[in-house]
Amino acid sequence: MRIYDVAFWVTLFFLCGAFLGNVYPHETLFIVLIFICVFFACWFLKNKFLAFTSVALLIGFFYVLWYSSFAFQITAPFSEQLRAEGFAANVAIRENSQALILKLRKPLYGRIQIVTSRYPEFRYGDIVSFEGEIEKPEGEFEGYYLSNRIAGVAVFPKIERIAENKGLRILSALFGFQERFLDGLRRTLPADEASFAGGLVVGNRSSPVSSTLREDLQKSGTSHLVALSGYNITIIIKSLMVALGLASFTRRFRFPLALIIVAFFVLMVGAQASIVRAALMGVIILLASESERLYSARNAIALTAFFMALWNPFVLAYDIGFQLSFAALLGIIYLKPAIERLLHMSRAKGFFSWREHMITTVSAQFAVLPLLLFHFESFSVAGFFTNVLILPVIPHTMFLSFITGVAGFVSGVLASSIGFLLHAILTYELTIIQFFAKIEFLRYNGGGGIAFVIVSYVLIVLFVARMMKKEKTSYAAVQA
Amino acid sequence: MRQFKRKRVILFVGFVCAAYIAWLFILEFQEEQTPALYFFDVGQGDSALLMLPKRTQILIDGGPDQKVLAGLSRALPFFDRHIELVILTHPQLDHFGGLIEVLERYSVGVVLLNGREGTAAAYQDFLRALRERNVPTRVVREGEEIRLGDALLSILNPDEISLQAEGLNDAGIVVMVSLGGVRALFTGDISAKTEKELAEQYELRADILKVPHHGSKYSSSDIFLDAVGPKIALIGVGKNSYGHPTREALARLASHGSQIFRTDLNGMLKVVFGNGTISVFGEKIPVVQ
Repeated sequence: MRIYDVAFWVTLFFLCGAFLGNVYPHETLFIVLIFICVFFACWFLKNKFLAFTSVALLIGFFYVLWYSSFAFQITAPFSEQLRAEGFAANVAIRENSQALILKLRKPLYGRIQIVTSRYPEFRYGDIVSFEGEIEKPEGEFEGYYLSNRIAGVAVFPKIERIAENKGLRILSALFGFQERFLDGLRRTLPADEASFAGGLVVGNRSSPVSSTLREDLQKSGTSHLVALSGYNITIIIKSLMVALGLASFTRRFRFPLALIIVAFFVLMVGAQASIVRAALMGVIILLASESERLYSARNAIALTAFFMALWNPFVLAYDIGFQLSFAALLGIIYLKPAIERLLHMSRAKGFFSWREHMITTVSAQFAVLPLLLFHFESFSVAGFFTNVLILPVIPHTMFLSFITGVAGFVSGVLASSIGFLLHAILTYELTIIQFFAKIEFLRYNGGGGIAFVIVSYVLIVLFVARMMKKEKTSYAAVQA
Repeated sequence: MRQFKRKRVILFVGFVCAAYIAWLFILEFQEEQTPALYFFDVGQGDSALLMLPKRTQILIDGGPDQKVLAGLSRALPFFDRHIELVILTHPQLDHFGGLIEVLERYSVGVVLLNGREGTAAAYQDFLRALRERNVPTRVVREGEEIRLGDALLSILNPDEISLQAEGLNDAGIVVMVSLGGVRALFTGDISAKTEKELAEQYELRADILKVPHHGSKYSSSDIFLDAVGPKIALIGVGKNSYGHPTREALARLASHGSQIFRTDLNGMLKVVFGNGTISVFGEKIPVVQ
């Protein structure tokens, strides 16, 4: 086994172990049994090296146990009326409420989420005091809290700000910049257009869309556009590279410089697990597209997942966004060439490279389909149409949105004159989104159990393996 | 070959832009000159926008939250980011909440206030938004008149006494808008007590009535409705625990021959008046009078 194969298998086994740790945290004996089976299966069926790498499975499992013992530490009593202070590490404004991630201050310790009314508005760096009960996260959304490292929840407590600007200066500055950027868009465009344009650039966590628009995005299969996925970040990195190139930086400096700016960007938009993942993915997609080497993409994906799991292993089973974006990425990297081969697709791009977008969308959608049916029990074919129609202009929209928002710093008139063009593109996109959201018969409502998910993915993997084998034989024939 | 293609793309994009700007101008000059009143569906709360000729707007209250923005986006052409006049009848959340977002997103000429302090926590955010955006404010009193374009706004309430009322409702601004022979009365959340005083003091006859206090049974009294005699009654109401609009108020309005339109049933309402006719368009059930 080569070193990169060893690395791949170790990570893969670690991830499997950590996943099992998510789902069966109390069944140590069961996990050890699984490990023994896997170990001997590898030993006798494949090779002994592989068997030794499977030890990572156990390590992954115990890592989850160790992690959960310290990450969710909280010294505050649950379900008891109390008064406490905390530092607002993150504030997400929602349509009719705000969600604060609060680090409790001494004498208490712990990381909790507070949901409070839309006003008065809190900011990063505020010290707040609140009076209420902290509940242990349980029930339907427990997974969400686990994957966001939240140990307790307080809903609509009595809350007030007692100090502000106590955060890191660099973070405050970045958040301030973001706020001014979004403000530029909000003062130039109608509400839905502004929040959509803002969502494309900094994600819907910072730029929440109205509930009607959110529903339309879901129904038309375009929510991923404002979720700040690897796709958006790839576009940002690419434009950064172009911009840096225009500023006559040499190629050697461009990439690392772009990485530094992306790091700041990630901090600015909230450095949530989902965004860190998107940034890592964006960088990987870029690397993969530059090198076009499949095995390196394989290891890079496995490594990203590994680092994400180290950061917080609970994303594996409970962060739906994590699963969706990895599935979509794997779909684009493995399923796309397989489908292209099946259809004997030429490399011709077509008008606005619609073929490329079509095949990318189809691959990604097929790869996430089982997960969508499992988690949301519904799927819309509309996504195929909307994405093909909209994706080609998304990079331009993002660029114009960025320029418009920044122009708002200088003058409203300047922003409005650029906003004219941006508004035209946004109108086109939102019209398509709203049109397809209304077409009900494109929608399939129905769930799929865990067995369905496993069977579908096995089928997809078999299909990809078959198409890859075909290519190898035809390649061999040409060689001969 | 490649250069030829690029030329074509540039031509194409240039053509699209030119066509787009041309259409904008055409639509801009076609803008209807008949005034219209939009009554936004903001859930439980009030928000009305008067669109006067020459792109002059008056926004009366903003509803409880950002829902007012959806209405404004639909009523205003996208390039018009200026609202000439905003009136906050009284500082309760279901009337001023949405104005915070409006102030953040639109430039506002002046805000008229009744002079009472709001007690809701969000009121401080409203004041902060006014301050940060440098929006001038003015406190108005009974008897003042404001002329904006062809429209005449007469302030009927509050006077110095009603301003001291125990609750905020009876201290609210009541304004009669007269425009092109049509009169519209905006009443905020006043109760029967203020209604009676107004009916004794003023000529209240109006074609359009913004029904006081979302159709509460303690408002829309017979004396008041006798004096106003509205043809069209608009109720801003959504899901609520007060039982608004109440059966009593609805019955009284109906018995005075008013046609009732409710934002919870009809969605956003548009009242167009010009040439002596008044037409009401509901978003959900289109009604023409």
